[in-house]
Amino acid sequence: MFSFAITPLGNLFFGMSVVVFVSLLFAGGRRGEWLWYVLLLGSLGLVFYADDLVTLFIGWEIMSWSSYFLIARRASSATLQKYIVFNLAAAFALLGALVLIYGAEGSVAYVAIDLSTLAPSHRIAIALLLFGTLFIKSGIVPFHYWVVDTYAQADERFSTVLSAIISKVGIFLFILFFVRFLPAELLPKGLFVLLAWLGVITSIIATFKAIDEDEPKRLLAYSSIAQVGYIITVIALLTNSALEAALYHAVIHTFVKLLLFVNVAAILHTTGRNTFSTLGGLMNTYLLNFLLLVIGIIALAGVPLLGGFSSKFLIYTTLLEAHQGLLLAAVMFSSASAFLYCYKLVYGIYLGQPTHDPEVSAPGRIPWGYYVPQVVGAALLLILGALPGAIVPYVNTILEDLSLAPVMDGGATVLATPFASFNGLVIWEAFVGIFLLILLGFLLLKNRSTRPRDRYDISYCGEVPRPDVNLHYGYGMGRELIRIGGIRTILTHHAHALWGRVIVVAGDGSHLIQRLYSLTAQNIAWLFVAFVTALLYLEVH
Amino acid sequence: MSLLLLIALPLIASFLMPFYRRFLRPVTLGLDLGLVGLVYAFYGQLPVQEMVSFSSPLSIAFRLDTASYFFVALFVGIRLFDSMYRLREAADPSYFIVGNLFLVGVLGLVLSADIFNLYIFFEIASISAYIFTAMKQDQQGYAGAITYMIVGGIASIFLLLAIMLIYLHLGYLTLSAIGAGFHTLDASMQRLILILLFVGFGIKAEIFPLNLWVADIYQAAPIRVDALFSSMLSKAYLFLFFHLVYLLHPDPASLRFLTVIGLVSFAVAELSALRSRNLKRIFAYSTLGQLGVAFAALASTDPMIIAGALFLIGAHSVAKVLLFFGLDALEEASGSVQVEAFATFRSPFLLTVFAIGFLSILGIPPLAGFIAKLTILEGFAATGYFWVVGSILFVSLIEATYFFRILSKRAHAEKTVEISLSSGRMILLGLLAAGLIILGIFPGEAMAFCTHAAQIFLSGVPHV
Repeated sequence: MFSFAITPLGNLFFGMSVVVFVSLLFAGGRRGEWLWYVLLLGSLGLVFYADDLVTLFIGWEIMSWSSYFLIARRASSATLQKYIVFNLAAAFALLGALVLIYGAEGSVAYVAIDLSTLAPSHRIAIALLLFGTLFIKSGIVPFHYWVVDTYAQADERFSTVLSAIISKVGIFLFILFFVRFLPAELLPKGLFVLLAWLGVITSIIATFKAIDEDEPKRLLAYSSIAQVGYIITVIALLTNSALEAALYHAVIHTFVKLLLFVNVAAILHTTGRNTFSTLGGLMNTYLLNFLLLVIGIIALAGVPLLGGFSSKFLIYTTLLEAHQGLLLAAVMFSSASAFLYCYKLVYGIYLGQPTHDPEVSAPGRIPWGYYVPQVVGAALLLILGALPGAIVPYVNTILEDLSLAPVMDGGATVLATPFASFNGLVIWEAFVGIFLLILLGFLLLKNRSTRPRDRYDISYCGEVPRPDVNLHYGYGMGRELIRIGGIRTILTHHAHALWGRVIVVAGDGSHLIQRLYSLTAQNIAWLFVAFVTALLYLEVH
Repeated sequence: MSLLLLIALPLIASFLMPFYRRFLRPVTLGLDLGLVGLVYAFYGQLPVQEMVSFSSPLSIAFRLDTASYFFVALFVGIRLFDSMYRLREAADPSYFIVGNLFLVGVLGLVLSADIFNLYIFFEIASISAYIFTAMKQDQQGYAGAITYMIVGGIASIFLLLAIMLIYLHLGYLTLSAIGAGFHTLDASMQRLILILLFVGFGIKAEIFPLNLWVADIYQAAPIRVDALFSSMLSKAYLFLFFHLVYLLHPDPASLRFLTVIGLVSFAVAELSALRSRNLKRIFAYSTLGQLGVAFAALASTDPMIIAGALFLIGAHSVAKVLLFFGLDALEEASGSVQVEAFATFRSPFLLTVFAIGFLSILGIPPLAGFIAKLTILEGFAATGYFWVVGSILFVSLIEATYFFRILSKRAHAEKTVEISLSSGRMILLGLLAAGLIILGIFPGEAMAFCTHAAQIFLSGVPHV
């Protein structure tokens, strides 16, 4: 019943999963959890290496419910409920697509699937069901309802897995179906234009929601949604360079989020604080963690030097190549706004003034195990920054396997596209030179005063704040954004308004029907009579 | 060996009860093992037909083919499980008698090859079910039993009317003869008889809108009796109804109507479970929902879908037995069957049992329910009924919502209620749960049997 095929695409995704899972082994954890992690990794193996739709679906479902039991240890029942209902909806949409394909082809084996002979309406139905799965799994607005609470409340290790791996499974599915089985030329072009725009709108909304967040984990959750939004935008173009950009960004995002989530987890674990308003000024205490976070946010922001730039570069050039100027502008807008939350992350935790809380001022050490995943992530990001073309040959293997033309390969140090190319090593050399100069200047000019300062010691500004006023900048950062027209709309509207209404309507319907099931015998008898009369009446006419 | 033994042995055992009052438990177990042995012995010789002839129309005809064998084996198996589960409890003579009558009733319904006998077993099963409902001898039980009697009485009237009309117009009561002669009736009479049969059996097979009584009855009856109701009684009527339907060769429009009714039944039941707080009622609604799916699938005339439906019936029966028996242990420990009680028990074993039951009914891999649902959905898709696929998937999501609402209640709840399950009971429940997993991973043999049974089911009954 199960059949498998080792494909380069599967290898890439499963390889990333293994790296993430293994490095997370070091970062603490309870006994008894490992069973679920093994089950989860096994289910990911089923998904990535499946060679028929049923195996794929079985892996997908096991992934959903084994995650449920992993989240169940920490999350509230409302969050759990959201998680499982949305993910089962995604799974059932996938099952629907699978069953439709089976109905048309009479087989579920990948090799036997040829959807080119199907009726167009049939193909669109399959595509829409798969879009549903993708939207839920990747958290496209408004299907992101489940994402943030789940990330925030799950165990730190599991949040990492969710963000680094599970959020990419939808991308894998998309490539599998829309490149291999249901190529874009078989579908109306509008579908993919819509998808690209949904991706970028999601990333804009999620970016501003992230800036507004007070919890590092929730911020990272929104950031995940935004980053996956970019991937969806670019992959919707479905060219070979779009696929390159999407895969590249998926790899980068996996390791960025591995680094960042574990970094934040280490702080939360050691200080026991989980909001920006209670953290701050921890740079000197956790210098190594701080430096790792800086690496993470540089990659996340997509500025040169680290791997994050390489993938953003590919996204931009792909959009340019496809003459999608508006999409490019939107992605750039979102990408630039992302600086704000990146900054909030580093400022809110490590910079700014330390809080007075003695617990935070004199916290314990970070267990060494928390550094392992971070170092793994940082190392890969550094390598891909200096050698941006290093994974291009592998991307070409994947493209070849999917019968697509290869992309330009400019050698390990050069990331080449038809539009432009850059040499990662040269950038590094220039950076190191400039950095050394700045460091020298900084050391020479540094103010050597070490007088400890009170955070309320700002009376020279003409203000004497009360002790209950939170002066920490990370606390209110992003709040001013609400004054900007469009962004106010984003920040004041919540998915709960929509889904809450759905829940209320369903609940009311349920109450109404339940009353039918509590009738007295007499009324039931009358109803039977009415039903039979209706049947007979229908029969006569 | 005679098919009569399947009916006669439990009856005789009940009549002779005063002689071995003090050895009821070994006798029950012996009887059940004997029945299992008997069923096993019949496996190689299917189909088996027997007829004890009196002057017409009073003859007794039995028939065991692959399709009815599926149900007979299921019922005898569940009954054996029930007896073994009771092994350490004080024997209850009244339960012994009613239980045997109940078994005779459901077995007779499945085995009967003439419609008069069928009516007799219909009444035996109904009466024993009324007594079962009142078994706890409390107010709620009696009230439930009386409601059940009224509703059951209405069902009997419709069924009797149908039988009367058939006998008046055809002059015989043997099922195969009716099947052969039914199309000679004029069309409106055919429709009338079909409607009467639909109402009579629809009430018993718990199909919307004829199932409005069910939740109250399940709530009134003892929990382990609910398990028998949902895994044996309703399934027997379901089989019987479609057995008759395929015998009478109705027009495609009527069958489509049955599919729609089944789906509506599924949707309505799952929706009403969404906000219910009583686990007994929730499980009852879930049973109604699954019966609805099975009903829609059985009306499809496609062997693959019907095989899936049979698989679904088997998987659902096992899962519901697990859930109801688990709930029984929970009620024993906490004294409550509210959703809140579910959040507070402390027993990883029982939680696993519940989870496996839930997930199998939901059709989540790798459990048996998944194979059933997948087969049904694939079958509907292959025959072009995409709207059925869509509605089953959508309603399944509602089903998932309330099942997981129950499970999610456990998050952050204080676990104070200790569950005391004897190791014997744990082994029994564990075996059933393992069965669901094994059937889910290796469905081959069982599915092949169901496919064969489905073909027999569709072919109607050859002449006796």
